[in-house]
Amino acid sequence: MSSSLEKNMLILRSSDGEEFIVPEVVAVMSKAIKNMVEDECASNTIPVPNVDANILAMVIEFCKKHDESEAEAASDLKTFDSEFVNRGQEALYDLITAANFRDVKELLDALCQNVAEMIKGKSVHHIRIQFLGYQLFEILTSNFIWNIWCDRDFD
Amino acid sequence: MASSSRLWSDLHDDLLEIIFEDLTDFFDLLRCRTVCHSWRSAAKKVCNNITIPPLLLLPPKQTISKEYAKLVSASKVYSIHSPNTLARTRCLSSYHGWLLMADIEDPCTVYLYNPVSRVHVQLPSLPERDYPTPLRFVTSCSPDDPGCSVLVLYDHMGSHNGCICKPGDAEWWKTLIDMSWCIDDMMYYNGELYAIDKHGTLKRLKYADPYIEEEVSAMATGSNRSTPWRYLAKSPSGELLMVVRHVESCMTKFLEVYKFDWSEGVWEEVRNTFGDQALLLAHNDSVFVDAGNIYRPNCIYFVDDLWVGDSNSHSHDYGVYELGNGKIEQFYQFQQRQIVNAASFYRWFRLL
Repeated sequence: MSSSLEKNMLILRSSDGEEFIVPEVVAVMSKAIKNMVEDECASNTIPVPNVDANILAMVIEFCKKHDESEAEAASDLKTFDSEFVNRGQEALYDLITAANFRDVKELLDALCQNVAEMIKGKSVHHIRIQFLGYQLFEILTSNFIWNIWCDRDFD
Repeated sequence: MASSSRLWSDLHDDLLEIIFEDLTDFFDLLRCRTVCHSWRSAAKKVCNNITIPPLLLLPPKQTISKEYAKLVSASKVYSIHSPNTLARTRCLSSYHGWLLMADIEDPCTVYLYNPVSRVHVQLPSLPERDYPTPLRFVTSCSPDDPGCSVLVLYDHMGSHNGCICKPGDAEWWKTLIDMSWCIDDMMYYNGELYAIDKHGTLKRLKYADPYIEEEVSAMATGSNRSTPWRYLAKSPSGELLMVVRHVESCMTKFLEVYKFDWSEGVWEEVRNTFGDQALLLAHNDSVFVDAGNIYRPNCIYFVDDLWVGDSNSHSHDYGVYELGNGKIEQFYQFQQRQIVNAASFYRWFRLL
C-alpha cells in the first residue's frame, strides 16, 4: 500500500474506520498530526480517534480550501469560512470538539466565532433553548436560579 | 458520536472561553453567565479578564440607532443595544445598573431599563407643562421589587424638580414642583434618602404622606470663585462625604472633599484619606473602588456628567484629580479609545 501512495501523502483513518488520502501539507494543518509526523511516530496510516468519517471529511475540506487559497483574496476565504461553519448544532459541536482535539486553529476560530454570533443579542431563555434544548426541563424546574445567579454576578 | 454526548453545557471550558472571547457586547457575556453552571464559570473568567466595573457609560448622539449606549472599560468598548420595544428612546442616566430612558420625541415619556435582564419599567409621564428635561433618578431598591420607590429628577427652566412613584403606578405619587432649592445630588445613605443642593445644604427626604424634607445641615462654607457642583458619596469607612467640584469655563479646576459631622451638623474638610481606593464621581451613583492596577489610588475620577441637552456645546471635561497634590490629569487609557471625539456625556455605570 505504501508503494502506491504518492510521496507527501498521508492516510487518515476516522474512528469508524474510513480512510482518507490527504496531502501532508493539508494534514499538518492539524498541529496534533504535525507533531506526530515530525516525531516520526506516524506510520502510513494515522488514526484519528473520536472523529467519525463524516466530520473528518468536513475538516479535510476546510483544511484543503485553506491550503489551496493561500494566494486567493482573503475575502473569498472569509466567504468560504462563513458558509462552511453555517451548520446544524450537532455538526457544529462535533466540528468544534474535533478541531480542538486535533488542534486545527483556523477551523476552531471560525467555528467559535460562529457560535458567538449565534449567542449575540439573544435572551438567556433563547440561548438555553438553542444550545441546551432537551436539558431545559431541569432548568425550568429551578426557575429561580436565574435571579440568584444574576444577584451573585454583579456584586 | 452519540447525540447524547453533545452537550453544549459540557463543552470544555477552554472552548467556551474562546467562544465568549468573541462576544463584543458586554451584556451578551453577562447573559451567558446565567445560562448554566459550566457557561457561568467560563464566561466569568472572560468577564474578569476584560471588564473593570464600574464602566464608563457613553450614550451616542441623539440620532435614532439600535445602539444607544456604549460601555467603556480600560481594554474594550461594549455596545448596549436597545430592545425593539424601546426603539426611539435615548439613554439619559444610570443608577445601580438601571438606565433612565426617554422617548426621543416626547421627553415626558420615561422608562427604566436594565440592560442585563432586559426588563423595562414604564414610569408615569412627566408633567408636560413643565417642559421637563429628565436628568437622573434614584430608587430605594431594584425597580423589579414592587416595594421600590423611584425618584426622577428633571430640569424645569433651570430648576430641578422631582417626581416620586412606585414602578407600575399610572400617576406620580408626589411631584415636588415647589422646590425652591436646586438639588445637585441624591443618595441613599444607611437606608435614608439624602439630597444636597447647590449651596451645600443637606436634606433628608422622606416618602411619607405628607412628604417630609428635613434640613440636616445648613449651607456649607466654601470658595465662591466658581459655581461648584456637589456630589454625595459614602466613604469606605461608612462616612457621608460631599465632593465639591469647582468648574470654570466648563472645565473642572479643583475638587474638595468634606465629611459630615453628625453631632455638629457641619461639613468638615478632609484630605488625603482614600488610601488604596479611588472615587468614581457620578451624580446619584458615586462609588469607591479598589484602585488595583486600573485606577490610581487616592484619586477622584470625574467625567462629563454635568452636561445636559445640546451636544454641540460639550467640552469633554473629564480627568483624574489626585488628592495628595491637587493635580488634574487626563485618564489615558480611555483617551486611546477615542471616546474624546464622541459628542455626548459620560458617566460611570455600576452593575449593582
